[in-house]
Amino acid sequence: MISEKIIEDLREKAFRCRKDVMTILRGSGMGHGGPSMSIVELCVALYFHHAKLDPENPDWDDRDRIVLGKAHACETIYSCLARLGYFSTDTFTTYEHFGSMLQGHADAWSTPGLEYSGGSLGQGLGFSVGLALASRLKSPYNPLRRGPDHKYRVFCICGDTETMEGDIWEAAYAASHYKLSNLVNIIDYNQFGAYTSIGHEGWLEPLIEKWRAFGWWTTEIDGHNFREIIATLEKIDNISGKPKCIIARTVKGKGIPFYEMTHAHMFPVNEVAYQQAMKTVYKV
Amino acid sequence: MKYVLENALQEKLDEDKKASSMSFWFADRKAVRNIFGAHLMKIAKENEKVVFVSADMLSVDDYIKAGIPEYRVLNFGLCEANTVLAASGLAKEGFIPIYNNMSWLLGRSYNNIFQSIGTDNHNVKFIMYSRSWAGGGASHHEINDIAFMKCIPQILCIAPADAVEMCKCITAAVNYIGAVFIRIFGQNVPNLFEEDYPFKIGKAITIREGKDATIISFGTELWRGLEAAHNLSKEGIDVRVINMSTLKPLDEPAIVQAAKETGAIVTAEDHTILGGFGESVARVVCRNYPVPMNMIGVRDTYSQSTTDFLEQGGGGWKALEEAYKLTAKDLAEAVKETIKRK
Repeated sequence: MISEKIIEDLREKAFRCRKDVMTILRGSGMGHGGPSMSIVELCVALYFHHAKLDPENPDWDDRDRIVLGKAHACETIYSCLARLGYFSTDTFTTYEHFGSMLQGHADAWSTPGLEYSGGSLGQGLGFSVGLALASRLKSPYNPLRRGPDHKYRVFCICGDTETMEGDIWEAAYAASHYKLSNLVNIIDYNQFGAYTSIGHEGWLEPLIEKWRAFGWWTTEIDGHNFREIIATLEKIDNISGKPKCIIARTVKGKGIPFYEMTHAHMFPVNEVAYQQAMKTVYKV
Repeated sequence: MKYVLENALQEKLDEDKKASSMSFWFADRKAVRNIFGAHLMKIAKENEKVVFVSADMLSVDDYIKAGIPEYRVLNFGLCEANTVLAASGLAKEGFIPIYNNMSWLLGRSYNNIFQSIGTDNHNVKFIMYSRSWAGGGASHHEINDIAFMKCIPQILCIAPADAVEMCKCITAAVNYIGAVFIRIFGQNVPNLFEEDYPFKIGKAITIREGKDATIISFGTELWRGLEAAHNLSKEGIDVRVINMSTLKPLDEPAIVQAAKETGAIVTAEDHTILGGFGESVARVVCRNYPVPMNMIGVRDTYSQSTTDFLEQGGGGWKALEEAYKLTAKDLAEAVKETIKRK
């Protein structure tokens, strides 16, 4: 059972992360605030609690890989990486500036600690399949010779609308075929695409059945509840023989009432909007 | 030059007048694929980092029989998009994925190559068949792959002219760190080179000296270039032939030198001229030393299927070359026309 102290500490970190996201957005005056806010708890739980990482040594071969499929929500990752010490928080004001290490969409060549360069959706999960297979090839005990079947875990953070891309289902086939038990796909089910409501109107549902039909161990959780997120992540470590999919129910723009109401995807952040957001942001 | 079977080529061309088929001087189609397969196995045995990825285009059993462990042969089923993405992830972790398929299928995973492989220049080797299936019809004829691959930043583009060069360029590509697109041939091509052919990435090689014009060929069009040059020599026209097997990086000095010394350039490719090899050469010529140019290649059109594609001699391809004006005769006419504009 995870202690109250740890949960409280993570909630505090998530609160700080939301404020960081606003600061980063103000750096360019524009960005994907809504989808960044909805993955804050998922990212904080991974980066600050669950994943094996070493900020001192970003290329450590045994580290867990975190792949941001929905690379437009990079602001949240930038905050986590900077707070872990991969780079300075001073970079926040340079977001999207020419020559900045913080690109408009997550780019691994530019930002220390990132695994994947994205932007065009649907590709992160396929890339993660490659990483998960490599983890097995590197393991001294190859799956085909039995024994511990991987060196590290791969966590892919995937948007809900992103799962409408065909590439996602090609990757779902492959992960299931190769029984990639070290691969976890976390779907940020915030119900909204850029302009389309996809959750309630029948585009995605029944989502859980789809993933199960593709051979994935699948569960649904509250994506803003640390206790649930961490309990699920710990539980799935003990499930073997299948890739895992966590459908995390989230709210687009979570933590900032105005954005929650508008389901905002991409929005301008001028000084007035920034001050307004910083005043109204609350601890989830 | 020593490593070119020029004499053999001439003898066989003379004999060809008597024969209705040119098949006798083609490498056997199966033989080319066997050479390719054996070379891949050799590379995989020498380098444990090499893994094979495929979209339903290989038999895992064949690889196991050849001594490659099953876990290094990854078949993702008919999922071209995911094959490329998984290759990218494997390359990120230090493996060298080799992806072999028909070249036209790259279009299905184009954005994935552009973003997930190109951006970080992951070490993936695309070894793709062109001329894969004459009978396949317009969908199966690789006429636009160079155009869409050459514009991806950092990815190298290479097309060998025969089986010897094919093996050499595959070895060079595996030793190079970064993404490489190699356009090999799924059909029979003549054997042109001896084993000592000095292939180097980014280096063009002059196969035949000449002073009146230069034919710069890409990939398997070299033998058409040599045939055209041979025929033109009988009319007193002295044509240089350059084998430009690397399109990226392009050997610009060789092109500029040819422009200066011969004053006319004709490019040859089995690909559309829109965005193809010829346009890359033209870019160098017009910037450095403008001379009259012409390009032999597929015009703004789709092709269609043709039979006899399994025959020795690539009868199907011959019919297509005639229909779309890619033959040595067309090349020779283009050379003469270009010389007139000097």
